[in-house]
Amino acid sequence: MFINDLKLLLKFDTDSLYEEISQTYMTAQGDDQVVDTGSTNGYLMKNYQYLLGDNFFRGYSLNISNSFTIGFWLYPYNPGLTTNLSTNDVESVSMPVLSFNDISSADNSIITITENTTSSGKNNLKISFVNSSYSAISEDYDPSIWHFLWIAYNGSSLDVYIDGNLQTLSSISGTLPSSIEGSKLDLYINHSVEGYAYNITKNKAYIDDIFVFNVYNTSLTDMQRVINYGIDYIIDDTLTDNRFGGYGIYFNDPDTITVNSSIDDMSYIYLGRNDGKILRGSPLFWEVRKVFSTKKENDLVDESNGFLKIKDSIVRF
Amino acid sequence: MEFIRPYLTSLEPDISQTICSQSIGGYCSNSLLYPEASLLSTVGLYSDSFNISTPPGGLSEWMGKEYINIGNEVIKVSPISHNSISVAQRGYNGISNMHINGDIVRLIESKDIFNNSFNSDYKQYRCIAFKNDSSLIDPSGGTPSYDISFFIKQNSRNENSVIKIALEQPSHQYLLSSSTRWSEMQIIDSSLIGVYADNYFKDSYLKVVSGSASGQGRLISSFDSLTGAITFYSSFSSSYDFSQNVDYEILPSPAQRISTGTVSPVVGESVDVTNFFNADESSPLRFVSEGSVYNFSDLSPNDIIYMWMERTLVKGRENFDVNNIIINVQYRVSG
Repeated sequence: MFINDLKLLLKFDTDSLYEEISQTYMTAQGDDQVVDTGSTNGYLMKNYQYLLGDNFFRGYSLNISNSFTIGFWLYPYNPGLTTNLSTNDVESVSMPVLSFNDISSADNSIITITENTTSSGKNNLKISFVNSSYSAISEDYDPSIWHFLWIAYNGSSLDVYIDGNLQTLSSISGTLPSSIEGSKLDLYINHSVEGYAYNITKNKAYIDDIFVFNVYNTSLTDMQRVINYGIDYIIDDTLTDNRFGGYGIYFNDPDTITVNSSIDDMSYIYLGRNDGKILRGSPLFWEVRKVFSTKKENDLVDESNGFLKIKDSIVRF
Repeated sequence: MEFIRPYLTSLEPDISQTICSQSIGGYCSNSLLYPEASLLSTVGLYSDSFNISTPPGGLSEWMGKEYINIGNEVIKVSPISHNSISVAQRGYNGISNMHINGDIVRLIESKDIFNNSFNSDYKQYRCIAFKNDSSLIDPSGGTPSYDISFFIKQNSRNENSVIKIALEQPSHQYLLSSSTRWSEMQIIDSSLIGVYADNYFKDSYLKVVSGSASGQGRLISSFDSLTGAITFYSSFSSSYDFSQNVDYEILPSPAQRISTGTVSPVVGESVDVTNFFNADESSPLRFVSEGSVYNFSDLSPNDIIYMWMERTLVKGRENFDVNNIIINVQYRVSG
């Protein structure tokens, strides 16, 4: 990785997981929103926007033959289940996510990724190759939170990672093709090819930061960097050599501390604070303790709230 | 594998720092900022359980604790009772990350770096030593880190509490060499003659790493550039065999040591300390961009850079018990 193998990048924002979803979304066409990255034959979209659904009739030169890696953020939508009026069976709803179709023939699907709703209220992902000659389904995931999808293919295996976790694929149908014709492709996002509708033709999921490499990559380190530090690691080769160490430092900001009890022993005055600490003071010296050196001192503390006892207020040591 | 590791600072060299709020400059102690373990598997963005390695010294320090840190994420967990960790809340600090096998897990609840003692300006100061520990991972040599910079990935989540950072460059870094003669009070090393100025190593800590005195160390009281003589404040035991030369290391020079955590360290080029900055991701703090006299950007194995933290409270602050900051160290691993 990264830049030399990159064939397509659609970047919608720099934040990863906790971005606020704006109510303006990308339209694919428009010079102010789509930037050609030139040598990569890809297109870079500007920040802080996401794509709700559109078609990219660009004929991307992806040069995919026997390997690729696709990644993107997905904020899934779950419309529930549907009833098949013919059979009265309750069925899942299938929704388009991404579809790469041959530029010369829109009905020639090369790679198709769809979502299915499940009876548990979750979604799963279905990955299909070459007009569904092969398909497989991921494990279930929760809707309405951001997920990062990383799908890698090398002609003999298909590896799907959701949020960094390798998926156990199920409902595998057909044989994985040893190669695919993916030199020039159109891209459909959240949107099915007209005339080839799924149960829902336009997915309401949000999609963000799509990239395509024409190499197979299952490096967890690469995955971690893209998920944690953003898609810039794909396009900025000065960052790919960088390492980050993250160091959390944990602390308590003080409460609004108040003195809520006091007592004296003729030599010192003791002030009890609402943080459970005791101040012992004399005209020359004050100290703060939470550990009490004598039983009598300890007896001053009300175990229920950590305050000094005001009751029996004269204590002599 | 992350190899820049944070240590508490201490008044004396080569000791454990058991009072965390006394990490106020001086020497790099033998105590990590927080106890560490490592992840034993990938932790996805929403994974709610994982296993950690058994840290050196066992898990006793971890028992019952509920807040850990991996990378930029603070995770609240069910009270820890064994290596299998059950998550109570991912992204406790608002940052959820993916983590992979071998990532460092820090027990951030275990030590109180800050306390409630502030000066009249509502400020307090702490000093952390960041050390290139790659030679611990790769004893054959280690990995230099280049163009090192620091920034605050996430400042205090309480808007009435702000952290700024400054960097201090040690006057010298780690040195490994051999004696050409030595005695109870001196090590003579002819390879140092004329290389370093007089007293270049004054107040640094020398540790013998071979022979019968291996592991023994002394503070350096003077260095004579003309003779290569390193003289100590106190003598080695007379029981060692001084006829056999020894390998020794001189640890990076100490940072400023402030008298209390409420006193600011002296900053400026004359003392190799940058000013305090709210250095964020877009403007990371590095020496080379902070002054012409600083000529420091790389950290070789065993080298150290000191990071000072200035914590400021706003008067009339609000209650905010569980807070954190996330410091990031950025560097390259190829020159």
